[in-house]
Amino acid sequence: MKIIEAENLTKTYQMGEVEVNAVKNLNLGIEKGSFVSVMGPSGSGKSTLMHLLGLLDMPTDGELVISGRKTSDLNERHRAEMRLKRIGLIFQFYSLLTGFDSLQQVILPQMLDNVKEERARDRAKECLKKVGLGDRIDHKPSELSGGQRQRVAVARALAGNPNILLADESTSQLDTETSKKIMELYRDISNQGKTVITVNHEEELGEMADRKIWLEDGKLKKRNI
Amino acid sequence: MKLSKARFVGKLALRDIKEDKKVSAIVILMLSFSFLNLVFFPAFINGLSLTFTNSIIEAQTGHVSIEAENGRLSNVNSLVKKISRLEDTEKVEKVIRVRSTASYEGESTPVTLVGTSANQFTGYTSKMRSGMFLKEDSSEAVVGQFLTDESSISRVNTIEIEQGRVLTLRSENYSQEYKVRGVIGTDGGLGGLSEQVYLNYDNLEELTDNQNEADILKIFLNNRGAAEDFKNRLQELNTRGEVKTWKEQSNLANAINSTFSIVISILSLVGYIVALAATGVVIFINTTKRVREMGIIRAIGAKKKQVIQIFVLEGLMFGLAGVLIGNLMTAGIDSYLSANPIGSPVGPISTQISSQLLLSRSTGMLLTSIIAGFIPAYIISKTEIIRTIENR
Repeated sequence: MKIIEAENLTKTYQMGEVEVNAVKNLNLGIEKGSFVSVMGPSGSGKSTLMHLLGLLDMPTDGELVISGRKTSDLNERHRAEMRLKRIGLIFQFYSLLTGFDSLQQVILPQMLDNVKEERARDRAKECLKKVGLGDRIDHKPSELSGGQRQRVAVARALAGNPNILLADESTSQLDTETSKKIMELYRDISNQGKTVITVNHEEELGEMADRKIWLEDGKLKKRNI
Repeated sequence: MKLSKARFVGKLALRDIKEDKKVSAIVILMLSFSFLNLVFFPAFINGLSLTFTNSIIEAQTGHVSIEAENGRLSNVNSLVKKISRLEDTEKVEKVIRVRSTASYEGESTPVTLVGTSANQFTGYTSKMRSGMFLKEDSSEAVVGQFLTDESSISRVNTIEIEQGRVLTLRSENYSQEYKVRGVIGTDGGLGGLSEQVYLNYDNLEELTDNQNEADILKIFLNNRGAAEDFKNRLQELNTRGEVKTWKEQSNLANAINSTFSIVISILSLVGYIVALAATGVVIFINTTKRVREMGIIRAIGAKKKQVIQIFVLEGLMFGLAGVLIGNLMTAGIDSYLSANPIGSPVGPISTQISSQLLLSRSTGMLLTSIIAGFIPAYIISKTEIIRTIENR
């Protein structure tokens, strides 16, 4: 069963008088529970694709269906709702909120979903334990290493129990060993039935995914899905 | 907004305030002083106006006055009896004025001689510079302070008389000596107190041979708010003469109020602009510092309105703290000035703070703080998520 389907997905940016096709006529189908790595050189459209899949940006043309729902029909409020309940996002740079400890970082998005405080706290502890930070719940971002911060971001993305986890170059600021550990974490999450899509710069990390997509100039160059 | 979403907004707003405590403290202090500025000046003008009005009431008009339209009011004793029987009447003062010449040791000056029946009235007794005010059944005089010393604002010449000396009052028809029982006056000479000579009404009646007459009847009420109603009841008595309430006579006090209302409006506007700028700048800096964070929280599911609510709440928190501290500062200054009024030519002035003034200024300050939070928040919420996330 396909959880993500893209048909002629296109995103064009206007750079002055020049039109840049960041993603061009992309056709894609991603099975539920798969672990996919998107690879390609800089400027190939990987991040733009992730932004489109994460409903952070609107396609210029084409259609994107997520969990059977056409996203072109969604207004701003419904897109936010979908990001909250169905899609977990992890970003390239550290994206934790300053001033909050790890537990609060994971509790906060659940508050947006009206989860009761006690339940949100239990769920946050469970997610932090799952990413190996059960003993760092009261640490603030400044007291954590780069890898630990990204793990908190993963725990936060998992807190709402989304079907899809999107990680946009989430290991680019980490050393190779830590990056591998994060990729292994994604695999574990995928093994639990969640669809994980990561963007990787390094081929070695990309190879750790079950399926790979190569992009070049906004077009699908090859895939092994 | 559901409770958990409200808590989300509250946690992020509070985090911003707590994270830079020094800046937050400065903003709150600025808002407190802005609030003080918004309240203090109108309260001081209210106090000035009240003191001025009270002085006019005491010295010239009473709460309601009956003044002869032509010549003098006649048969005033029976009229005073009738008025004294009316509800709300506290006392009625008969006043008669004549022009005379005051002399002492070869020096003479023209003066207004005032005969009053209210010799125990605090409007006079509280303004004694030396000695005592007139005593019933005594034949003494009280002189205005300008007759006792040099004063550049006096319209009368000094005759350098002092308490205990003997003053001669004369006209074509009389010449009579009076011992000076006391000296009366105010710093600015308000109401002519400082340049007149006072006698008991009966003494002046006898001296000038004006029987049962008065230039003005000053009526003092238990409640000055009842003046208008009292005027209507007086008119039913068919009194001769023009009846006026203290409000109708307070043209000068009204003029002070209307003149200062423009100044108060300008100062209030400045106060609100300072509050708007102080809060707005800090929240604007916070929003620019947190552009990416706001992008992140929108990416994890927050809506635009929640981003706006965070900064509006932040502004409101600043405003609430400023209003609270501002109210405390105002209460402190108000109680100090009540105990130690500022001396002025019209009398001691203290601030007059009404609950309406506090409420309107508090509401204005909170609205200003909300606007100061809303504008930068609205701008940041309009930015596309991708742009905010890429803002590193």
